Amino acid sequence: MLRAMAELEYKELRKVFDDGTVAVDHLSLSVADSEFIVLVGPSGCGKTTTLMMTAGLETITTGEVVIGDSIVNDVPPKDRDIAMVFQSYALYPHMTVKDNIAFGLRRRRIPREEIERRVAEAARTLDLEPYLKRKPGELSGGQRQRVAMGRAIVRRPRLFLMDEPLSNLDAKLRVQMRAEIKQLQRQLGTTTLYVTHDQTEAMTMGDRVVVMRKGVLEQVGTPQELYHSPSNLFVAGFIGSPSMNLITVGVEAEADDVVIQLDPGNPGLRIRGNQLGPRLRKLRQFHGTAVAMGFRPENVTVATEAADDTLRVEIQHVEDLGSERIIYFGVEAPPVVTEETRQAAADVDEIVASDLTRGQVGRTVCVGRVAGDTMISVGDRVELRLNPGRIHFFELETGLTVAGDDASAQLRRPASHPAGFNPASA
Amino acid sequence: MSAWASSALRLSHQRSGRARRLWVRLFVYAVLAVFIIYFAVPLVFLLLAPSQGSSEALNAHPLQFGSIHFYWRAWSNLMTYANGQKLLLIWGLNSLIYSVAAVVLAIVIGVPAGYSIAFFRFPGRRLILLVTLIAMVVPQNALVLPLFIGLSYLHLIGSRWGVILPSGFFPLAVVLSYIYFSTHFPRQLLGAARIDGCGELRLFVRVVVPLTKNVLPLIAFFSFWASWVNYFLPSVILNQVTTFSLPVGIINMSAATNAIIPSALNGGLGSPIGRPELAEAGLFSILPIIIIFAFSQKFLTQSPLSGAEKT
Repeated sequence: MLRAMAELEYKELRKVFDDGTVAVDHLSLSVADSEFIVLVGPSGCGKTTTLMMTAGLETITTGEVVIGDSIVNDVPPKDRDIAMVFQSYALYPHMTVKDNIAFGLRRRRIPREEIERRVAEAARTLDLEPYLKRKPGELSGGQRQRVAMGRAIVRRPRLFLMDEPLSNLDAKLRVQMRAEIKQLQRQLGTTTLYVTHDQTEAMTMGDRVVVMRKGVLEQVGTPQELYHSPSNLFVAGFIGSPSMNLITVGVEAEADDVVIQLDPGNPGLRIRGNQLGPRLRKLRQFHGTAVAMGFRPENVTVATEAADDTLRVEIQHVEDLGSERIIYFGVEAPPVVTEETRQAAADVDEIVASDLTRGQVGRTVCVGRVAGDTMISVGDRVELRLNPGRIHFFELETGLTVAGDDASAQLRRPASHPAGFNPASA
Repeated sequence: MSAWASSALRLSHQRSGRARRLWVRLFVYAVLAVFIIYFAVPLVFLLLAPSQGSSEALNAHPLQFGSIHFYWRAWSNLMTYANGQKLLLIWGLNSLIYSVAAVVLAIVIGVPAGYSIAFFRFPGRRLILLVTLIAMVVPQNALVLPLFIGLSYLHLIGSRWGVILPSGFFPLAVVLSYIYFSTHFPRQLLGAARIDGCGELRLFVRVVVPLTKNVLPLIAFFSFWASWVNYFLPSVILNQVTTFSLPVGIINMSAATNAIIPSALNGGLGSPIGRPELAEAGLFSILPIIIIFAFSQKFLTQSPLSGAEKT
């Protein structure tokens, strides 16, 4: 995608805290004018630190932050022409709503009439008119959130920075405000950097989404790109809810096709060569070895009869959501062990975690999403067909996607940042 | 105390038998009663002492109420002491001046210091915090000699400034503000103000100071109290009777009579000051502390930060 002008740019941005923690590592990113970009990742991934460095509230270890056409590394926050919405809202509790919104304008010696006009306009946009004389303590969470938004928009800054602005709202209000913020941003056309740990929020709001993990940029792309072409195991597992099913399988090249081997007694799952497109050649190179295979819950359908491209599974649990049913079934293949899954398991049960690490779990519970009228119940043994065009393969060693030759070169991460994946069978 | 009592009561409910419950209850009340007597009796005694005339006070039961008339007599004796200079009122005024000055200094110095230690990273920050904490537990009396030497270099011995200036050294104010800022004050508020265009000084004056309302009464109360009851340093520094603070004045007065130490030399027999007068002077000296405490307490229950962040 070609973009006219970068409004915000990170060049090899790096942050090392006093205790030696590397919070952000060689982050390079270019954000276009009026783009809504979301930084997403689990806690500790460096997204908030990146935002704070952009705001000037955190020092930069090395690298550059460029806003517009100037490097702002040493520019104090007030001169960066930015406005920020904090996770806690950070309203001035001793000032009225009106003073809260106007505070930043008064500091900038904007004429009184202009301030009045802008505050009134913001209050109208955000439905805050009845509350202008109140103090933040007398407002609900949603109203406080709006005041924080109001304080940002009256400034008409070059850049909005938002640090998990919706995380303190209840679920319903959050969904509503998501749409409102997105709409407001489109109206104003202000470049926005939005930080969240919630991948749904990231996917629904971002023009582009930046997935980060442990200070490293994992992938940047539109929500569609991230969802359909995750460049590595982490992004594959992180984006999407319910998340992508990931299992460890063997690969055998057979004639023009690829046969996926699950447990030894199983005839395997045949994927026709023409359904793999440019990935076929690459995947065939893994003949006789193991890879990680991923498929999304919605790419599962119940087949009427057994075939060489179906899996026989037993249904363990069914969640009926009305329009669709979420099915849980066991697949006779070990799960893919990543740092994240191991950590998640360790939180629950240490024995499971160590079994996972040693590759002793031979069975993975997978999730499928089928139409609400699919006749299926717990204990049924059914044949499932996976949409072959939507199956993802990842190298176990590096976690990188097995892509066509052209694409894989782009997606390869710098050699200095090991992926941190442990093959289950190691 | 009450938590212990209620858990003891709860325990008693689990056991069977009314008699047993009754005994436990009696035991709890007995323990509470002992504590009430322990804390309350001296205060009651102080309140009642002036009601007993001088002669009776030596013989009568200490918890006996004499006559309301004696309160007036003791007061007029106090006022006529030292040729009717009304020294007690002068000392009270002096104490008020010293203590208000101490409050102002403690706040003006302590709050910015606590704020800096809580929010800024600078070399020596941890050391300063450590030294402040140590200074807080060092008894003020231990510092009297070095202070005396320092003040004599500055020719402040005998001067009111010799009492006022050292009271600005009040580590508890620094520690209290440090704790308040680092545990209760939302750091993001500082970020918001900086982005909104505040320089550091304006940020402190416009955003931080207005939000210190519930730590200021604490600092004010403790610094007022510390200065009000301080005896040793003023007694060493001050040498004119008209600059004395209340504690120095009252001790001075009691030493001049035979009310407490019968063998006192200064012709105690002729003095109008006896035990009732001293007790009344004591009452007079604790009154402001009680008033100040009641005043501060009102503010301690309010939070000036409500609404700054999620609740």
